[in-house]
Amino acid sequence: MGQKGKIIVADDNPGIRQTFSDLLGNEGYTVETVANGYQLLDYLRDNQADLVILDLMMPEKDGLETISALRSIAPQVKVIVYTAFGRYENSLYAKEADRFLLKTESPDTVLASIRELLD
Amino acid sequence: MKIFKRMIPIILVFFFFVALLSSLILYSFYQIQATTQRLIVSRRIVEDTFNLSYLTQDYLANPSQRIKFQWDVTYLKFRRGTNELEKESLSPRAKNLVEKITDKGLSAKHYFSLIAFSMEEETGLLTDSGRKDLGRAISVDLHQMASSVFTLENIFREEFLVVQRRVGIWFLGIIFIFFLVFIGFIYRLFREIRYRAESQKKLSEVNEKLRLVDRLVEFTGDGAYRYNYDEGVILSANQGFADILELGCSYKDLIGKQLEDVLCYLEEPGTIRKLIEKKGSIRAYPYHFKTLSGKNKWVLHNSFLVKDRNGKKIIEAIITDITEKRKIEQKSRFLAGILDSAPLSVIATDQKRKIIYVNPATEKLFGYSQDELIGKDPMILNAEPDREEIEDEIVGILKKGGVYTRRLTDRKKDGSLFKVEMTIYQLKDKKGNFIALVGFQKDVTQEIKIQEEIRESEIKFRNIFEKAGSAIFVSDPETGNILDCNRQAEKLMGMPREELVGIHQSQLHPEADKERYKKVFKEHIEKGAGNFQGKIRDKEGKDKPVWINAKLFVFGEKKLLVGFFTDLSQRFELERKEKEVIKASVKADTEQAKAQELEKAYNQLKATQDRLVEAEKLAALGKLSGIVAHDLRNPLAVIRNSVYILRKNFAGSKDSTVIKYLQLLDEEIEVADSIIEEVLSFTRIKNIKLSSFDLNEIIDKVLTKVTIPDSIRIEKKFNSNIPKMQADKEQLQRLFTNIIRNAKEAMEGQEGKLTLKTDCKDKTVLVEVSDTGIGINEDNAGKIFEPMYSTKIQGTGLGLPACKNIIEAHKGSIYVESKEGEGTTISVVLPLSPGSGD
Repeated sequence: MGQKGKIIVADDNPGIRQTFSDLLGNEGYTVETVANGYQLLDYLRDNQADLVILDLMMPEKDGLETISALRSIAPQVKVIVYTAFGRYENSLYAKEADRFLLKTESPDTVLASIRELLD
Repeated sequence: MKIFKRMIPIILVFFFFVALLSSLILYSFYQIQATTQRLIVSRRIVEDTFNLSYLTQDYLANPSQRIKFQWDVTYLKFRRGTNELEKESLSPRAKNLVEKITDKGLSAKHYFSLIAFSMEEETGLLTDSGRKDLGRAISVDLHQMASSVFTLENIFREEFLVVQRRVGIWFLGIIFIFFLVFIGFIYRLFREIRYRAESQKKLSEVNEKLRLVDRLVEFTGDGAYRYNYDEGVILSANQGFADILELGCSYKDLIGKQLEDVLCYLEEPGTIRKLIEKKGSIRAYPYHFKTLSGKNKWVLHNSFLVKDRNGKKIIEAIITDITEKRKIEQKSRFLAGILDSAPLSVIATDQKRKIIYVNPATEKLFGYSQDELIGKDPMILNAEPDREEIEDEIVGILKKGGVYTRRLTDRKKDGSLFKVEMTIYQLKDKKGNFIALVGFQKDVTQEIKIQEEIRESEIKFRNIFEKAGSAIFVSDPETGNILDCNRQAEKLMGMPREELVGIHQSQLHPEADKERYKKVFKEHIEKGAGNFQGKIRDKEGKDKPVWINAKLFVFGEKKLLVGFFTDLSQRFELERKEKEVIKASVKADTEQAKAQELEKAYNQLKATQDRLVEAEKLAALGKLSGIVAHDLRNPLAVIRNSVYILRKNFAGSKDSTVIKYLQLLDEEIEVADSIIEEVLSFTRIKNIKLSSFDLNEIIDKVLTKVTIPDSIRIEKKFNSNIPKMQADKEQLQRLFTNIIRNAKEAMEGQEGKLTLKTDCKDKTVLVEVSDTGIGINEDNAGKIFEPMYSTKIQGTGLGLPACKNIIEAHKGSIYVESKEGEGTTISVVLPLSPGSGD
C-alpha cells in the first residue's frame, strides 16, 4: 500500500469523501480527505501529496480560490476538478486544473484520469 | 568566581608542565653531581698513576721497604678509585677504559711484586738488566693507564658539558612555557571580560524585544498564554486571553485553571497539542471553540512547544480573535454569491465612468466577457441614438441622490439590439463618499413583446366588445356589481358608463322583479350559462323587453359574469305573438355567434396572459433548478461510487440477485442523471456557439446514440446535396436526440416505422421526423411545447420546450402534425446560417 501515490479528496459532501477514500484505497492509493479549502491548504502546507480531487463549490473556501492558492503552495500537485457544475467546464479556473470531471462521470473514468496523471 | 572556573584547565596545564620540567631539572642536577664526582675520581686515579710511576722509578734506583709500602698504599688508593668507577653506570666506552686501566694496574702490580721479591730475597733469578726491563714494562703499563685515564677524563668532561647544556635548554623551555601560559591567561581574561559585556548588552536587547512583543500583544488585543502540555493547566496569560474567552474576569483568575474549565471544546480535545507534537509549532491555525457563555469563537492559533528548566513540556500560544472577521468574510462571500447568481445584469463603474465590475449575468446578457468590459465606458452597451442626453439626465438625477430607472435599447457584442430596463444608483459609504455607480439591467424584450401582444388583443377585445350589436354587461358574480359595459349598453339604459359601473346588476331591472332576477343570476353562476327573456328599466323608468344570454367566464381564481342583452321592444311592437318570441330567440342565436367571437378574443387574451405567467414560472424554475440539480448530483455521485465499490467487492459472488440489483441501481442512476441534464439544459440559456457541419452526419450520429429497438424500421430520406450549415452543433444534437427519442417512445411496445427526411430550400434546411406511434390528442397538441407538460410517466416535461428554445435561438421554426392513433410528424425548419434566415 502507498507506493502508488497520495491523493487528497477535498469535498464538503461526507459521502463523496467516504466512497472515494474506499475506492482509491482499494486501488492502492494513500487517501486523505478534507472538507474544505482551508483544511486542504493547511494540510498541503505541511504534507506532500501527488494529486488533489477538488470540488469547486465548497463552503469556507471554495474550489476556485483554492486552485490558485494550491498552485502557489504545492506546484507539483496534480489537480482534478470534480464538480456538479458543468458550466464551469470552460472557465478560467477549471483550465488551471489538470482535468475537469463532472460528478456524473463513472468511477472508472475518474480512476483512468488519476492513472494517466500519476503514471 | 566564574572566571576562575574557566581558568582551571589553563592552570592545570601550567602546573603539569612546571612539575615535569622541575623533575627534569632535578634529574639533571643529580647527573651533574654524579659526573663531577666521576671527574674527581678520575683525577685522583691520574694522580695515583703518576705516583705509582714515580715510586717505581724510586724503588728501582734505591730499593727500600718504605718505598715498597708507599707503592702498595698508592696502588690500594688507585684500586679504590677504579672500584668506585666500576660501581657507576657508565657508557660502554668508559666501562672498557676502566677495565683496561684496572687490567694494566693489576699487571703493573704483578711486575712490581716480582721486582720487589727478587730484590728482597736476592734469589738471583733476576739480574739488574732484567729488573730494568720489568721496570720499563711497568712504566709502559702505567703510561698506558695514564693515557686511558686521560681519555676517560675527557669522556667525563664531555658528558658534563652535555648535561650542562641540556639543563640550560630545559630552563629556557620552562621560561618559555611560563610566558605562553601567561599570555594565554591574559587573553582568556580579556575575552571573558568582553563576552560578559556583550551578553549584558544582548540580554537588555532581548528584554526590550520581549517588552515590545508584550506591548504589541496588548495593543492588538491578541490573547497570549502558556499552559502545561500534559495537564492543560494555564501557567500564565494576558488580559487579551481573558477577554477573548469573555469570562469577564482578570487574567490572573485564569492562572492555575484547566483549559477545559474556561472554554468549551468544539473540536476534538487535544487537536492543537497533536499538531504541535507533530511539528513543534503551528502558525495561523483556524481554531473553533465555544465560550462558557455559549458564544461561537474562531481564533487563529499560533503556538510553540517549549520546555521549562525541569524538562516539562509547555505550550506558548498567541491567539487572534477572528470571529468578527469571519462573519464579515462570510457575509461578503454570501453577497458575492448573490451577485454572481443574480439573474439580473449588474454593472458597477468608478467616478471616471469606467466599468470596474460586471456579474456573470452581464456576460451572458451582452455576450462580452468580463475582461472585455472592465475598464470600458458602459456607454458602448447603449444603442440609444440620444445617449449623450440620457447620460446628462442620469448624472442630474444621481447628483440629487435619486435612483434612475428607464427602458432603453442596448446592443450586444454581436451587434443585435434588445430592450432592457435599467436602474442606476450611486453607492456611497457611511460618510457619503462615492464608491461606485451601480446599474442593474433586466432583459425586457420578451416582456415588452408579450405586453404588446396583450395590448393588441385588449384593443381587439375592446373593439369587438364596443361594436357588438348587443348590450354587454360584465359583472362580478360574487357581489353582483357591474364592472364594465359597452356602448350598446349605455344606449339601452340611456345612461353613461360611469353611472352604470358599480351599481348592482339587479338595479338594471324593474324593482318588482328584483328577487326573481337574483334567483336567475344565481342559477346562471351555478350552471355557467343561461338564456332567458326579461325586462330592463332605463333611466326614464321605461321598461324594455330583452333577451338575455349570460355566461360565466373563469380564469384562474377570478370569475366574471357576462350578460348579452338584445333589445326586443321594436320586435315586440311588430309581433306580439309567441312566434315572435321564437324569432327573437333565433336572432339571439346569431348574437350568440358574436358572443362566441368575443369569447374567442377573450380566450386569446387569456392565452397571452398564460404565456406571461409561464415566462415568470420559467424564470423561477431556472433559478431553482440549477441549485437543485447540483445538490442532486452530489448524492447521485455518492450512490454511483458506492455501487461501484459494492460491484467490485461482489465481483466473484455467486449471488446473482446482488449483481442484478446493482445493475438496476446503475441503470436508475443513469436515468436520474439524464433527467438532471434535461432540466439543466433547458434552464441553461446558452449562447449559440457556431460551427460548420453536415446536417445528415449529425442525424446519423444521433441515431447511433438513441437505441432503437428492432421492432421499429428506420427509413432515411436524406437529401445528400445539402450544403454545410452554420449552427450550434451540440445544441442541434440535443434537439434531434429529443425529437427522435420522443418518436421512439411513441412507438414503444409496438411495430412501427421511423421516417427521417432532410431537405434544403432557399437557404433553409428542413428536417422531418415521422413516427407511426400513438399520436397526440388534439387537446394536447397545443400544450406539448409548454414546459412541465408531459404525458410520459417519467418525463420532466422539458424535452420539447427545450427543443423549442433551441430552435428559437437559431431563428428557426417547428411544426407538429399528428393524428391520434396514427402517428406524428415533427418538422423543423432552420436557416442554413444565422444570417440567412432573416
